Amino acid sequence: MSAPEVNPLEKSRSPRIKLFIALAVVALAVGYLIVSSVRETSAYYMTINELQAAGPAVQNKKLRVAGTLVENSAQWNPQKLMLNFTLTDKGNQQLPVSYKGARPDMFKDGTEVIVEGTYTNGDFQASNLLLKCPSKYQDATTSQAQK
Amino acid sequence: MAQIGYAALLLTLIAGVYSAVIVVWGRQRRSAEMIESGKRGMVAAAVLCSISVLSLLYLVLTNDFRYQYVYETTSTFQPLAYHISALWQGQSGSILFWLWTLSLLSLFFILLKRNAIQPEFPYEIAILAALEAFFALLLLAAANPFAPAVEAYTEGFGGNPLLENPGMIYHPPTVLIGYAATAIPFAAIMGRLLAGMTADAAWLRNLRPWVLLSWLLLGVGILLGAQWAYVELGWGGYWAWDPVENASLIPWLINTAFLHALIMQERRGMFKLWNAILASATFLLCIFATWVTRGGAVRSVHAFGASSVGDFFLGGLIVLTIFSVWVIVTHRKQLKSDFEIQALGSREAAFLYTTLLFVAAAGLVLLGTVFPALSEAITGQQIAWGAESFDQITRILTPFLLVLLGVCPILGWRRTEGSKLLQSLLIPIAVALIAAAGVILLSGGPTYAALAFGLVSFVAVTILAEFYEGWRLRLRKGEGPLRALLHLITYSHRRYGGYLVHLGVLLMVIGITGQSLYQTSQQVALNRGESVTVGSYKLQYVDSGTEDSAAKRRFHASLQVYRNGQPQFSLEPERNYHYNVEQWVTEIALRSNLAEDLYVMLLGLEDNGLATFEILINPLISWLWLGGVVVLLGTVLAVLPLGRRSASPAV
Amino acid sequence: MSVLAILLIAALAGVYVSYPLWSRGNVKGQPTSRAMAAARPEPAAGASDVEELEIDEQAGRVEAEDYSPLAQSYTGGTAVSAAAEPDDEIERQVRALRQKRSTQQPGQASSTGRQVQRRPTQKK
Repeated sequence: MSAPEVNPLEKSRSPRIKLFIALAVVALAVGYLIVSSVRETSAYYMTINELQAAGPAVQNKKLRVAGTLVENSAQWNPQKLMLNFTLTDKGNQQLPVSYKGARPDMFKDGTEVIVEGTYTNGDFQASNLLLKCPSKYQDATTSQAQK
Repeated sequence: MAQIGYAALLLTLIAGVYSAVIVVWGRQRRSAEMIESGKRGMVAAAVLCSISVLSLLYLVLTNDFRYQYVYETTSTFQPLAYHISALWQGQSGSILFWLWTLSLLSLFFILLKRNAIQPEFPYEIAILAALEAFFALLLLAAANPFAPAVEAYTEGFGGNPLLENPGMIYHPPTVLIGYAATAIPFAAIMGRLLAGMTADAAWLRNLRPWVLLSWLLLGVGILLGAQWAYVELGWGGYWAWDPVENASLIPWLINTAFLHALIMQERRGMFKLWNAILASATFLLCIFATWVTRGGAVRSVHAFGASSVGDFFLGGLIVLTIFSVWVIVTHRKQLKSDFEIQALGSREAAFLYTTLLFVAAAGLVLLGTVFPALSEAITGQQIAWGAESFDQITRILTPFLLVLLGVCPILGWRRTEGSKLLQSLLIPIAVALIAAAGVILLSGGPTYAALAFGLVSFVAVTILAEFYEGWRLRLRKGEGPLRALLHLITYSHRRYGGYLVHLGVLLMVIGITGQSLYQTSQQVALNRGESVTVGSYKLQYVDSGTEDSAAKRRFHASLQVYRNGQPQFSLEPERNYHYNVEQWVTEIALRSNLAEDLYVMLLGLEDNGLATFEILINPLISWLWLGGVVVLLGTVLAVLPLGRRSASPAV
Repeated sequence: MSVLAILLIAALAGVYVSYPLWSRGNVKGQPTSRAMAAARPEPAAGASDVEELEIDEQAGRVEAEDYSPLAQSYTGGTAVSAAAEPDDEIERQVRALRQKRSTQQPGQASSTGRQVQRRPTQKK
């Protein structure tokens, strides 16, 4: 089959422009929705040092902090379902964390933990815990404790 | 035995390089003998790779701890099934598995072309052979499965207990085969361009099953992974938007866009440039996904550990990207469209919207995944999208997807008459509104639920209308009602297989929406004998116990579940401590039915018998898995060589 | 022992792979260079499902001018763009073959006796 007959209609710019405008409008509208919801739900990464330095400035922000679990610092209160523990940075700063929820599986001393939540008065209230599998042989798995 | 395996792998590398070189050379010299030799090289590569895989399998099955890989992935007390799955459980084994699958699929692809001599054949062989050589080189240089053990081990490490469940047997290989299969359309389209040709309808028609294969396997693999996470990892959900999960989702989304754009290329000669890009992107993103999983590129809770394997994948990714861009740019004349979209409301335009939607979705998932690194590079402050961010985006995009699913079949080629469109939309919209109202009335639920379920009903009606339309045609041709229905599905099986897939997608949307919008959860600490009421269930904590074994310390609690005052069934969640990895592992207790899942986790068991539970009710989640099965069936229907053979040869 | 096995495997592979290069005459059923000159384009696998188009037509979604070209895409007709620039003899012959066949196309799309095209077709 040879190329389609050249037809003034087919070569018309009008559908193309209409199409482009329509898509642009939709893209902008959707983009706006997406940007505003991401803004609300994203978290700032901070190290323990940065966090403690910033102090009250980051009071109501949603934050993520990474650290390693300090030996023997994990306390689990089954009645209140509260987990308290301390994280430490390479810089030897310590961060007390409280988490209301399920005690995660791979929670042991030396585990690398990322906590997500808010920071008030020197204490971190975590709403989410993300843990890393400590062993290097392990295959890809996800472990996430959620409220 | 390991020496044979290693040598076979080396020979596979040589065969791959040889094939790639000889076919291109043979193409230059118009020598069919050289091309035939290159084809044979692919046969040899597949056989040699199989020998290598069988050697590794032998080592793993015989617990030969003289080799590091065997030590890391097996133990003498591991059940047989997990011995076999050890083949793909470790880093190097999984890459070898990928190579092996690629070699077999490539061979199958090449042999199917036996009776056709086409100009792109040498290039297709060359690309696939080069890819096989790349993987073989990677294995030999950075991830040797036959490497000797670091110490003299007497017992294996045995793999992570989290991985000792059926999910680990079927999820990784499915994903890996899906990854491997994306190389075929890539090689075919690049090969066709290199040969100076453009793709005709017949050629595209033959390509479609390969695209469907990779699409299906990757999609099912991802879904199996989600189901595994739900049942095994025990946090109540099935998808955490973790970078590694996202990495496999991105190519699947692009593959979906590709699949649909390919249909338009077959029908109208449109989307040629799109398809060249999408075919390459699908394949390249699988390599990218592997790099993310293994190279430690993105901060993630997954730990394969950074290694030179990651560098290899990155290097390969860069080279292949440059190659694809070069091929497409230098052959762009062959990618000119035969048809321009005429109207915003035409079927051609709808396919464009679909393609854009899936590409946008893939782009957003990718953006969110690399956002921490990106934001740090740009602003110095690392910002991370949470799971909630991705969930919100999914909620924003889903209505668009559903509208397209419902409207596209109604649209006309080239343009749609307004009155006709309205006429076809009346009943579906009416049903949708009724459904939406029903949702609000019955559940008082969030508006979004009404929107989602309303749209789902809308699509369901339009799909059923399509079945009716086709059935009506067959009746007009004089067939009896039952025969008409059967023939409808078999003669137009590609389209109706597709509609069946869309119905499966609807079921999945129902499951996802139900679980995400209507989940209820409760955490409670109980003493023996106490009970708690969640939803329509009353759960009474009856007893608990602890047992010791060689592998683990088992803590379990039993619950008796009542409904309407009647005892229904009992559940026994566990929380076990595994000695070899020094980790706790939760074994959930789950009771599923079509309406909802009752999901119980044992969070802790104290010496005095105080037990902490987390109890979840996940409504409609079974529909997600059910939908997956329907998608599988629909795809199989679309791919099968059914239908009435036309007596005249196609061309 | 393993060394012997390895050498054997390598030798077998080598012989098998290189066979077309040093064997005289036709390798069992495979084309010779001369035969390649008469390259055949790949036939579409599977049956035609042009019924899909008939359903669309019944529902009033296809315009007259589109029916024939769409039908050809179902029956494996070629939609080779004229922009293709094949660079050698083989492609030229393939295209010539296709041209020849497509000029025979009208009315031949379905030889089972059913009328696929019910509208006047446009001759190229």
